[in-house]
Amino acid sequence: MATVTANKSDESQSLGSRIYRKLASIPSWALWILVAIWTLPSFSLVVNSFRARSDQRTGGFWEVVGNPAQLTTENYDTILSRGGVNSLFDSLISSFAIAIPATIIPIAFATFAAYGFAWIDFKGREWLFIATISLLAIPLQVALIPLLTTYVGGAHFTIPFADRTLTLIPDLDLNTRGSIAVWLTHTGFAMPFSIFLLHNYITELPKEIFESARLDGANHFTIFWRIVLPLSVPALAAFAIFQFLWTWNDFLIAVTMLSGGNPIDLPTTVKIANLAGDFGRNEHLLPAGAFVQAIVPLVVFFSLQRYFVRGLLAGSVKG
Amino acid sequence: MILVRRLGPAVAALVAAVIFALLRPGLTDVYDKGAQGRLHWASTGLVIWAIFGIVLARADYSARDFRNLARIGLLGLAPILLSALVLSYPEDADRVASTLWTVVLAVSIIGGLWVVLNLLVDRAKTDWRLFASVVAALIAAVFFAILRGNLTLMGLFADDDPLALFSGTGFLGHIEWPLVGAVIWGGAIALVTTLKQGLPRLAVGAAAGLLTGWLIGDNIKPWLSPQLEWVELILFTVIFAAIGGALRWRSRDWAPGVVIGAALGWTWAAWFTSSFGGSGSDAQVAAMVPLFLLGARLGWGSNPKLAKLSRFDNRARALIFLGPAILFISSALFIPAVITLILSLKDRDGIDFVFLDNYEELLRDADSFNVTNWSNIFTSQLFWVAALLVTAGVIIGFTSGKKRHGVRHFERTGSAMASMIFGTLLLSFAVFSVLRGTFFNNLWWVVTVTTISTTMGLVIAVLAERAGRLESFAKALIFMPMAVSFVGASIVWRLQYQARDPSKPQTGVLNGSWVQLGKLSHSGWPRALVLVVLAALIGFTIYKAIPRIRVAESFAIHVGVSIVFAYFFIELLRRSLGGFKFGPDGELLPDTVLFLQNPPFNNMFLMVVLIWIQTGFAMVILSAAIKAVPEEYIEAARVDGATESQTFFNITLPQILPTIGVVVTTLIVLVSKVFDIVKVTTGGNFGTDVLANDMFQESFSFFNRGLGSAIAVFILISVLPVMVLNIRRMQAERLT
Repeated sequence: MATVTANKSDESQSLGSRIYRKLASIPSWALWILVAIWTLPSFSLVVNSFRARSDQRTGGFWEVVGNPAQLTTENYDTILSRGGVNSLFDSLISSFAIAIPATIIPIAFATFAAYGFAWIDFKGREWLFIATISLLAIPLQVALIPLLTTYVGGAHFTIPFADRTLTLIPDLDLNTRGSIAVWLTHTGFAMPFSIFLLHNYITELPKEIFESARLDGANHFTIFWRIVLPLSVPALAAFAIFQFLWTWNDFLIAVTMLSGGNPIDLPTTVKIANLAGDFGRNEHLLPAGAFVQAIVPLVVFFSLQRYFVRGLLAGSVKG
Repeated sequence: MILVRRLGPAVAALVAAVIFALLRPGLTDVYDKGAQGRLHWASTGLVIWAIFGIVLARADYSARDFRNLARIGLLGLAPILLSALVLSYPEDADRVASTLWTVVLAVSIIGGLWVVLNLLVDRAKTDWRLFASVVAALIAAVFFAILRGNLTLMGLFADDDPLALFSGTGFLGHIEWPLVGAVIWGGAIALVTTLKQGLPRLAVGAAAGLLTGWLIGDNIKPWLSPQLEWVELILFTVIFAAIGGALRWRSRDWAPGVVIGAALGWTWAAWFTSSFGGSGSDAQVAAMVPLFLLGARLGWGSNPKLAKLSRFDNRARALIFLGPAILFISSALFIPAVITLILSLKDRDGIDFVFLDNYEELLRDADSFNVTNWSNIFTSQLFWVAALLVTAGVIIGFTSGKKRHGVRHFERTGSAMASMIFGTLLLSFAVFSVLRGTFFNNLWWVVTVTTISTTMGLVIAVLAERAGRLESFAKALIFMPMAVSFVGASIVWRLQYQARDPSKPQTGVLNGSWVQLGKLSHSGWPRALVLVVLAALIGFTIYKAIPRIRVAESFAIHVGVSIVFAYFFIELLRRSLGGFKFGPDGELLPDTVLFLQNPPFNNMFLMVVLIWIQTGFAMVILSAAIKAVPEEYIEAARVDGATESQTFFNITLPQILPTIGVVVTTLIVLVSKVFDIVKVTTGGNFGTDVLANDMFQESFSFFNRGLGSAIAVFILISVLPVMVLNIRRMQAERLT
């Protein structure tokens, strides 16, 4: 024991050892270096979004340090101006028009189904539930081609062994009703995951509530409406945030369904990707555009972080 | 007070609607759509103020704390600001309003329909007649809508008919048939359920069937009229009737089964296996017989008893609650997936079967599967460094292990494991850099992003644990990229990777620093200073390493660090660091790195984008798991004299291993489908193509549906095993 203490005091006397021990206590500042590395890209983007085209082309974002006069809102004026070719104004509206219904509709359907699986007794319930959850395994890409064909040409059913084809769903005109196609796709793809998430929550509600409600003569509809829905608000909120961010940030579905249609219907992600593909002509608008696109999910995320994290673990398995 | 809360929102919404409608002419001189535009305006005001009015009326005004007041203030300000915004951008108000209306309409139609269906089922027990007739009317309406929608029926009334309230075309033309069907069947079933069991009841049902059948036969488009083959007709009717009866045999109530079977058999033979071009009377017979049978079946028997009704209630509820979800799942997921499987076996237009040709083409294509350059691996520096690291790890592990029964055991010390894992990772990079093509790129993505994100997430979670008060702040900053879209993140990193003409100043952060480094390492005193510092560091680590020679782990760390320093020292001495080259006259010129264009390692720079996003995810999940490790275990380990790293590797890590599994499987699935990042940064050029991008290109740019489907099936196959694991885990979690 004594030798250890002696050793320690010995070491603490030499300068080299002191530096060394500083290095050994790495954790505290290594974390901040990592945080800095993680934040620098976003930071440089935000700074560049406030610099004019000519400044962006002649020097990096660090040049602002010397001359803060560089800062201007020019790019934002272009991005947010109404009706311009490079404006995000229309696509912001489109993004909301896609994300809000594509959040509400699946939540409604999934809550119904989750309640049905949890508390309505019928033959084949377990089997159906397992089948539903198994469909989580299907990646988006697998359904994309037939879905697009359905939206463009309608759904037809050829009766087996007979030479007759029946049209069940007519052609959905993607030019004028493209966003409806996107809602439907998002709704379908949200189903297995959202049912799973909400089912987990709704099955864990205390059984006694349901029994006493049934004794009082309440039917499934009343129980669902008056008891289950108010009690499930936290789970609904978690899923709503997740689904909103997912639909707002989605690129694949939107670019597949809307590329051939009316440009006014394109959401922000597709619009920005198009700007980025313009052979660098609009390179200077990209930082501002990306920032505007990200501001909505960031606000949602930071204000409702608690719910978001809750939905995250299960959410990331979504197809 | 309650009155204010109830009526306030409505009054506010109406007043807003009127004001908006009145303001319209003065504000929109750009273009005017008359009454319709005014309606849009009024509705915009109405919706804005109704939504916020309801929210405000429900707010809690009794709590007087600051946060509540601030919230109410913001809620009150929001409709005013929103209105001002809408009023000052009149041209866009129409678009906003119509969007809002579509949303409100869609949501309320869906919700309303669902509630109405539920209320309807509620009535089944108390008022069977109402329930049955409404359901019959609905089914009839849908049936006729499908028939009419397929253009099989003519307009119900000729255009010059005085009865032609609705002409056969346009919106009303679409609903005339459904309406007539609904009236006939709703009325018939209402009458049937009122009458007692017996002949009149049977007659009413049969009459409704005959009437509908006659209407169809009379109005079917002439060229769709079937040619009846009597032998076939009777044969099918008898066979189907027998099947129907047999199915109901055990319930002793077999007669209805026979009737329905006969109706189906007749329909099948008359409409589906016959050929077109029959006479009008053929069509009459073909339509009237099955519908007569169906009507008779509905008039058969009596109204259901109470016990049967409550069973029915359960089934109907299950259908109403699960129906929409099942409909969406099957039509947006299940059926399309099956169709894709079939399409992958067909040619590019999806017409002829080519079986496995598409898959074969994929495997033969050098762009997707290319192993010709595999021998280059032995000339790659990376490979040898990696091999060295792995060997070093093995040696460290064995030298620090204890001897048991005369055999040295491998000790999983931190440095041994770290160098082995890192070495293996580098080894995989070396392998992937010589095996080219979409498949290997995808695998490379999966290996790299999954391991690095998980490791970084774990490291940051552990570091943040000790950060004290600022822990959540640091974590929020790391986590922030999760909220940004993949497209946005790609834009962020494009900015970092930007490379401009070397003769011009660099604007990308990475190339800017790289060129600056090149400049610095050639100018006199900074270079000398760095050399001196590096030499001092090498000396110091070696000085520290010597006394530790018996403690293998600690010794290895010191030697490892000094080797890294020595590498930089030698490199700097030999040819300097950073981006530079020499011009024709020996002058110093800046040189940039084309991060996105230089294969094969440009792939790794794309992966950085996803790592940047997903590390936050891994960190949050793992951090929660670390916090859940019981404090007593760690205390006990510390009391026993375990070092920090021993505690981590022997206590914490085994405890959070299941969670690491969750993170890894989740990431594998996510990375296998990566698309947006590649699409936005390189578009799959420069050897960076991945499966999902390839699939998109083939299907939607080259319109080769067969090949696109085959790639989609490949993606499905590659994520399937992991997804099965994941779903199993979720099921297990649900059960516990």
